[in-house]
Amino acid sequence: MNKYKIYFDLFCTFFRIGAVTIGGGYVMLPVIQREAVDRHKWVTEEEVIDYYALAQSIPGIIAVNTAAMVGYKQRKLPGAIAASLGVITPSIIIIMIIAAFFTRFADNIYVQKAFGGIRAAVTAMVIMAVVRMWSKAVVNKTGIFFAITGFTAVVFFHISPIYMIILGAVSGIVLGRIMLHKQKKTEEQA
Amino acid sequence: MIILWHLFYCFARIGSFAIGGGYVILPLLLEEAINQKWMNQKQFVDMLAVSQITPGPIAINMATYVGYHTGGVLGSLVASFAVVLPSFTLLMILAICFFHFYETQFSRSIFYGLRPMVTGLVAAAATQIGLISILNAESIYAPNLFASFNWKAAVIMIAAIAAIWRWNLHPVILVAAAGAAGIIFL
Repeated sequence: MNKYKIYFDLFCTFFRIGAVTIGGGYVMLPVIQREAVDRHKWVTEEEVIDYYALAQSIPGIIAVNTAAMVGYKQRKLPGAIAASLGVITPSIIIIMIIAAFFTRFADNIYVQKAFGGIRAAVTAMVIMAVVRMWSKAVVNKTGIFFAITGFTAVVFFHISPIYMIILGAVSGIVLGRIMLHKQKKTEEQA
Repeated sequence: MIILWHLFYCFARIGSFAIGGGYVILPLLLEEAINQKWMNQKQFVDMLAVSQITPGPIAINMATYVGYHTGGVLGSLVASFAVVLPSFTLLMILAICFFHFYETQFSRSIFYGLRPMVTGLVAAAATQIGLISILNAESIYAPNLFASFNWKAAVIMIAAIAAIWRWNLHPVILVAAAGAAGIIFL
């Protein structure tokens, strides 16, 4: 029984984290730090920050990726599965319940009006998310060019965002190579 | 059964390309939801609102919601697992092989192009969401784009931007206030 306790602990801890954090990955990191570093001592402070950086640099959901790494550190693949399942289970349950009941109220006039206001607020939230992303990610002229290209392609030409993501990654690699080459040249000259 | 496979395929694809930070999942989901006719744009924004005020990662919330509406309980399970599976697999391969592969010049240069691009893509999603919420238009090419401009909704949006800017208001409070404003004014 004791052998399986760790899986149960991983699942329950990340279940709790998934159940209390509203607003996605960025809200989750401090909670993960508190639970996995301070309380359970599964990982060190530095490790969790490394995991978070790694989680951001591969595709997928940051919170789930971080949870999987903490689980992996404890018990390899089974640990990673326990932690990941834990972090996504609360959302699945809650959203299923909402999805099952929401359609019944969707036609109600007050619900309609409320959602009219809420849609405006959601627009504001996404705009502010863009402002935050912009201040961190768009730091030079090349960045501005990429951002405008992505925006124009989707809004005006209805090109799939997937193609633009591939384009962004590939041109990043090419530009990185060119910059490295230039750096070497100036070093050689010096 | 075909529906479930299709859900799996679509969400695995979304999960595979959701890279570059923050709300990158948003433009991907929006495109897929419209193309696959899972829901209209209004329903999409409603779903986004629900995801913002319920716990857990937004991508999982959306996957569960869409999955439920297209394939019931099984559909929501399939969609949620599918969106996680690609990154989980990649992560395990990285963890088993070697870790620090990613902190190389190579990965840094990927993000040099990717991060600003993703910012532009999320801005595009914001535009589409704004079009449907404020102008009640499906696309920027809609005839009479400003015909059904809802100035009250525009005021709520501007107030919400100001509230986030000034007080960094919590999403739950923001949505509750906007819902109340909608019932009173709209």
